[in-house]
Amino acid sequence: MLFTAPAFFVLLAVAVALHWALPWQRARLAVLLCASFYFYAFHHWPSLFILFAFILFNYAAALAQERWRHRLLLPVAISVNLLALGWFKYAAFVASIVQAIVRAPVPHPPVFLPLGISFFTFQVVAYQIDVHRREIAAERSLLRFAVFKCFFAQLVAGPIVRAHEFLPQLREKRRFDAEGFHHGLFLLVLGLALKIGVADVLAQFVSQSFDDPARLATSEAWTGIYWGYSTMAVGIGLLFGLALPLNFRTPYLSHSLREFWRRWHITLSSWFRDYLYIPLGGNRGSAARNLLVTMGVAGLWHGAGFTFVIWGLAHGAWLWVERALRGRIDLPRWLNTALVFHGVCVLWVLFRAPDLRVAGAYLSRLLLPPYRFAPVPGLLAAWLIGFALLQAPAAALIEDRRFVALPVRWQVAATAALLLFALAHGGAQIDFIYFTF
Amino acid sequence: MTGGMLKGARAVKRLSYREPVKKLVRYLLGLAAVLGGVEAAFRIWEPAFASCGDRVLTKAAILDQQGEVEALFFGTSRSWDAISPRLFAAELAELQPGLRLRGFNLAVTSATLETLESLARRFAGRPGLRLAVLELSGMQLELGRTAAAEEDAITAFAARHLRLIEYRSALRGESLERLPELLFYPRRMDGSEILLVDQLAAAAGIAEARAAPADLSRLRPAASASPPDPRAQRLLALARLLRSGGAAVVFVAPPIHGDEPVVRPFVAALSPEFPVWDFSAADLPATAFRDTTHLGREGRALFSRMVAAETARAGLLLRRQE
Repeated sequence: MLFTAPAFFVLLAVAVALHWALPWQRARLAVLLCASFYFYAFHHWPSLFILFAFILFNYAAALAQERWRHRLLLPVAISVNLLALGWFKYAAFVASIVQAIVRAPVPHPPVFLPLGISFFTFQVVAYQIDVHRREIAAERSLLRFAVFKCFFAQLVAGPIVRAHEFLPQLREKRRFDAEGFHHGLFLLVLGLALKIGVADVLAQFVSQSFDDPARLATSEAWTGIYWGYSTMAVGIGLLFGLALPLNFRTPYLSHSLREFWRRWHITLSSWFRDYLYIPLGGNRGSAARNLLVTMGVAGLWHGAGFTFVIWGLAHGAWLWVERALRGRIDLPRWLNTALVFHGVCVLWVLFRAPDLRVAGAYLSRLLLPPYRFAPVPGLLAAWLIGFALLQAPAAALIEDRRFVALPVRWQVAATAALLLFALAHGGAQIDFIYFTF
Repeated sequence: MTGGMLKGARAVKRLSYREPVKKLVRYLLGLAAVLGGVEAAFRIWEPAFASCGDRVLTKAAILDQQGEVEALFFGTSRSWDAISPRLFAAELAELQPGLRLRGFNLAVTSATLETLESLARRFAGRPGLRLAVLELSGMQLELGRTAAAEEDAITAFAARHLRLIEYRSALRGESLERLPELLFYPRRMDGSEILLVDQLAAAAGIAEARAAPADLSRLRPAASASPPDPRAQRLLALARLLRSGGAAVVFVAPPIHGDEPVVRPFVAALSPEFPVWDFSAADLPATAFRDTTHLGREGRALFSRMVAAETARAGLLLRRQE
């Protein structure tokens, strides 16, 4: 089920109404859990059993870690989670590599990809590490842990919520927060408009551009999709009185790649920083190696393919070069922003291309002569200009509940305009790419 | 803490809780009022909103509101760009003094052979129709029905009860651009208007510039004799349908940059029964084109004259005038 599907809004309305109507916290959590299971099973019900297994194993593993403090328990817990992820997501990729090396047919494991497995694996790995480091206590309530693990707003596409941020919110019985609810409704509508009205429209041009590589609109489409979905997730959380972290802060206005990664998919970037980059040594020792390894793994997290790995390594190399040149080259801020934007856009080609051959063809058409300039379609130009101009004001309204401070008439005007915009472009659904991560 | 202070603190707490609730309620009521207003507008002007979300329906709805129309131009965006019925009528009136003709351009972007057939069926028996000009081009010969997007049960239910949902595509930018011509001045349109400014100009009665004097003898249709294509049967069938309504029917291949060999077999197949004017290779100046397949303003004026000249030369509109 997509956040943009009409059935989802029915589920959401029922869950919100039931949640606030019930006076007991356990009952409210039960509503959230049932809604989350229904949401997950709607797409592919057998995957629900995998989710159950993840919940039960990680609940027990964290309690075991806390009780016995054995140094092998953490590696076992992490390995089991990563092996599951590896089996479902990377087995076919590994089989194809082996096949290429041995030059003989290798049986490909008949696996399917459970929705959002990369997200919830990383969430539980972080939880196990946090319990091991004694930064948090292992959750004793299975109900609460299950809601933490599979709250539907963040289950399949993030943000990757940390236990210390989320579990305390589930422990206390919350009073209805009208301001949060108000802001949540707006975020839901804004996210919907970004997903349907911006991302889905631009995605049509992206698909065309991969048929005809003379065109490029890749980056804008990915931004719109993910920003929209992530904003909806935060809005949905607020409708239940739960604060989820913002995942996006106008990344294309960054003036360095380092800043870009602090503004883009923030919860994933911080996950890699805290659980991979810093444990590898961070800025001490061989920072170049640490950056390349971290970004290479980040690339692989995004997809089982060489295009993703190269995309991650390219980002790692760029971060290293940027780090090495810091303080030596002083360019104007606007030029830095333009360079980061265009560089990131070029690398998105690797992210979007189905394989290296297509990516190579696309990049050569983009970067090498003969250059062919075609007029940008009016609709695409209008969308890109509109998105470029409105992203900063939209981001300002998303952050810090600034929307709620506006006069009601402006709130109504903005929400109605966004709602009608989303309604106008609703219809053909385009699958959300992060679902496959 | 005194009792008074406690009371005051409670009052502040109550107030700080009630204010956001009040604001939320006002916000929800305001939103409901706006959406209710839009729904009411959709119900009041339902025919216009129902049509403006679709190019073909828009053209058909405007034509429905016209009085007697003697000439209809069918085709794709190439004909939409290439023919101005007003200029065509003006040119024809000059060539055949006394002939007062009203035309309408029914051509729409991305029209397929199926679009052409459905429009021909709908307007074949239109009273007063005397001339039907059908585009012959590679684009127009494309097959493919426009399939409506499949709706889930919830959307279908909502669409049955709310016009806002049923006609939601009317809220798109390009649909809203079509709304004024449907609502305010449909009878002033001749179907050739493309942008909102064209609509406003036509509504204000601002005439399009006629073509500069040109030697049309160089711009005659080309002859061709190639084997027929099976799709020609479908074109013949719809041309006969239009003819049965009393209209003279002519096939026209609009000019294109370069060559369009795909139309040649059709010229041969259709010409024994209907006039076919193949202008695809007409030597128009480069400035006449907006892009490689579409004419610009200058080209439209010139092409409208070329078609008018051929119409007069063929005497297609003589009989009833006499």
